[in-house]
Amino acid sequence: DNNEGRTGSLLFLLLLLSDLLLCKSVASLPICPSGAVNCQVSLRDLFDRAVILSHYIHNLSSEMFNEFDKRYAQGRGFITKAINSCHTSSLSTPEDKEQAQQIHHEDLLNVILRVLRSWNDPLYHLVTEVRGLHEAPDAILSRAIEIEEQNRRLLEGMEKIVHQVHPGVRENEVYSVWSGLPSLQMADEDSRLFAFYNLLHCLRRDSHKIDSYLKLLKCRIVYDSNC
Amino acid sequence: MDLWQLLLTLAVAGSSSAFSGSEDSSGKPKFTKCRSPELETFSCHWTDGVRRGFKSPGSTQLFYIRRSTQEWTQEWKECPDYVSAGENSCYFNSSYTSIWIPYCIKLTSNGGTVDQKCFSVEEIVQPDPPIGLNWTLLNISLTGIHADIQVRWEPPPNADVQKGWIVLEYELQYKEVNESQWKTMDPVLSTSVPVYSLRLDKEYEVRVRSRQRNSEKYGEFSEVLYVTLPQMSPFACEEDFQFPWFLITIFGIFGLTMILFLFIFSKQQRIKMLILPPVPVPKIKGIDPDLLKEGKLEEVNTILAIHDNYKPEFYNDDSWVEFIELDIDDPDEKTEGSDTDRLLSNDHEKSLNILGAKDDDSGRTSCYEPDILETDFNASDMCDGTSEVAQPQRLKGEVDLLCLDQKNQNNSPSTDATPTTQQPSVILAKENKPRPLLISGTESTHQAAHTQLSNPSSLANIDFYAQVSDITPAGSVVLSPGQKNKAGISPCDMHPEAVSLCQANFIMDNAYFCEADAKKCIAVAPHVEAESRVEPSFNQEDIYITTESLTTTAGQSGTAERAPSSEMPVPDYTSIHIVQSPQGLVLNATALPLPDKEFLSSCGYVSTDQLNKIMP
Repeated sequence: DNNEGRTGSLLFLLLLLSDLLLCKSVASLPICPSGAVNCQVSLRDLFDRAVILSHYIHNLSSEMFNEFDKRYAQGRGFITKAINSCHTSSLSTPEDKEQAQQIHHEDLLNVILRVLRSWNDPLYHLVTEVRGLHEAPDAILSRAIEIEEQNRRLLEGMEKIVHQVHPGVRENEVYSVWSGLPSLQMADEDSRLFAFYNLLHCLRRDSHKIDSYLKLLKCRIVYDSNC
Repeated sequence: MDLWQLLLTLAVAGSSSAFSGSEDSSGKPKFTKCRSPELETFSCHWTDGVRRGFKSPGSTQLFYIRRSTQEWTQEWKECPDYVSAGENSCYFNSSYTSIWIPYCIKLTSNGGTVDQKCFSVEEIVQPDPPIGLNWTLLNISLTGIHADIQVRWEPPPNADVQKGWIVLEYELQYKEVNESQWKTMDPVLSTSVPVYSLRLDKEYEVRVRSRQRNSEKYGEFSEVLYVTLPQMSPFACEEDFQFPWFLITIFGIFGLTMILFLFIFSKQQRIKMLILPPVPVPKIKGIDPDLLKEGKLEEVNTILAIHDNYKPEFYNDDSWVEFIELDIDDPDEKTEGSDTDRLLSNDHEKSLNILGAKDDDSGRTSCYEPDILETDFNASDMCDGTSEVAQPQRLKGEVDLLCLDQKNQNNSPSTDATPTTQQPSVILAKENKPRPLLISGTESTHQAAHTQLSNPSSLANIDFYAQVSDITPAGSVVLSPGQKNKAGISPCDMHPEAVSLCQANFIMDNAYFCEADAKKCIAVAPHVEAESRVEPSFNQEDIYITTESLTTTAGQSGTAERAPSSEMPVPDYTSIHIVQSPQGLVLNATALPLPDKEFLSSCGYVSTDQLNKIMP
């Protein structure tokens, strides 16, 4: 009976899991039915959703960067890869696998939160400034809007996870301030495009970072390092 | 700005063209590829531009520099490992590798920089190929010809998928052994995938490659896996697809036959019409055609007498007079229409069957068939002559109007109606007006015409018997081109003097005019007519609309025959008044004695009252 109950719940969870993984559109996944107050979603589901979101955001960022590169950066020689300085570089983040494995998962979660928070402001301004781009293709604009929305949702999800993983501990809201808005609004077309290129490059990099951290954490916490 | 940053910028700017893949013309060493297989280490490879007999490691060197926490390291460092990754390569192990950190590497030869490249490690991930491919048979189809297999493999050993550090997706390709083109399946995340519908008697090759999710570049392909499926059972049915020629032939013939039958049956009427055109049968209202054929004269006589009474009745009809008397007060279309409608309605009431015969068996339908009626119905028993009586009388009135209008136009230069306006009016009449003749000038000069109506003697050369060839939907009558030649000129365009010349010959109460007289009138003033023509195309035609004039637009020149005097008038009809001979009905008018000088000798027609005068 107990076994059956466990098997039944496991099957149910598996079903839910497969459902979540199969579903491409993240927006259609309801965790809790609306109106339910004491809705407890398992950590596994939270992580699965978070990974899906982060993966999706990274996909969109890559595509947006490629579109921008194709559209505006060709022939301009934006050699930013060398001197690219992202505003999130000031945050201390693990830079390889060993460091990521050694860091405690709570700290890693905080790191993720910090990075996510740092991108709230830039994403918001990116959406408004992209519209002002000369002949902004819809691909870039739509992706920017989508990324901004998904980033907020990911942030909410991460806060939920943090609440579940170590409840009660509330970190000060640390994040890196972005001051690149003036550069996005420069009159000089070249400088402005360069600023965009920089920002999109940083976004792609940071979304990959968050995606990697989350996948690592998921395997570590949910699957006990056995994905 | 940091000095090193500036230098780096300049250096990278200088080398960006090299980085973008321009061809190496001078044989310098350049980077071919930098790659990280598992997001933990990476290696870079380059080519030796110039072939060397011996390898001197000191000549070509690789230096790298990387940013760490906002600051660039101060100097270029040399490659830590030239060996592990092979020749002309530099291997960075995990301690030297930082993800999400920009690196720059440069290649030097004898101290001079030959190539430079900048990247981040997460951008150059290309996993190793999967290992451990194997396959298992899933099932065999019922026909024994196809089978499904499941292919499994292991992720590349150095990729840490278990800890989730890197997430890979795989792409499988397979083909028959003797084929050249690989079939590609969609990328999958799992390490096993089913391959469906392989033929049992063929051998297949399978290979898999992987890439990091969200990346674009695939790694190398794995080793090829050979799939040898069990032999087909000897009892398997032939599944060779043969083109079903037999079935196609049968169905094709069937379909064609159906189409042919449909064609024949649908076009039956048409074919019947083509082969057997309807023969006009003599038909007079109230008279049995058999009577006519058999020649039962007494009955026919009586019937005709009845018809005879029709004419004077109609002739003395008040509505006729009313029609002539134009209403000055109400010169708009409505009045005209009402008059005409009344006239027409009378027509219809009295000779409804005659004029309105549509699709019955009487030969009269052929009267209204424009195609068939091109032939000259000379003294035949085609359409009832009596029915046509109404037409010329009405026509006369209209022609009167026309003449009067034009006369008024001639007299009063202020009026704008010209002969040219006749043409647009014809078109209008064709569409809307119930009258065969809409004279646009009539409205404007309606009033004036009224006064002039007392002088209908301008009517000259109208053929009062005209064969109705069709009835327009509006109710107007379309007459066949009868005496086209002689009536080709509007009598109204005659010179007034000419008119007066002709006038003397005509008697007021004579309903009919003879062509000879008309000819005289026309002959007098042909030049006038020619001048006054601006749009000769219509004016050359009849006063009344004929089928020809309707169908042929203004393409006819005005230079058509204008010499009616050269032709003898050919009557379309002769009225049937009396049956003289046992042979038939037709009264040859020339046979009639013409006692009076009133009657024009050459005239073929006599009016009823004239005839009554003649005959006792």
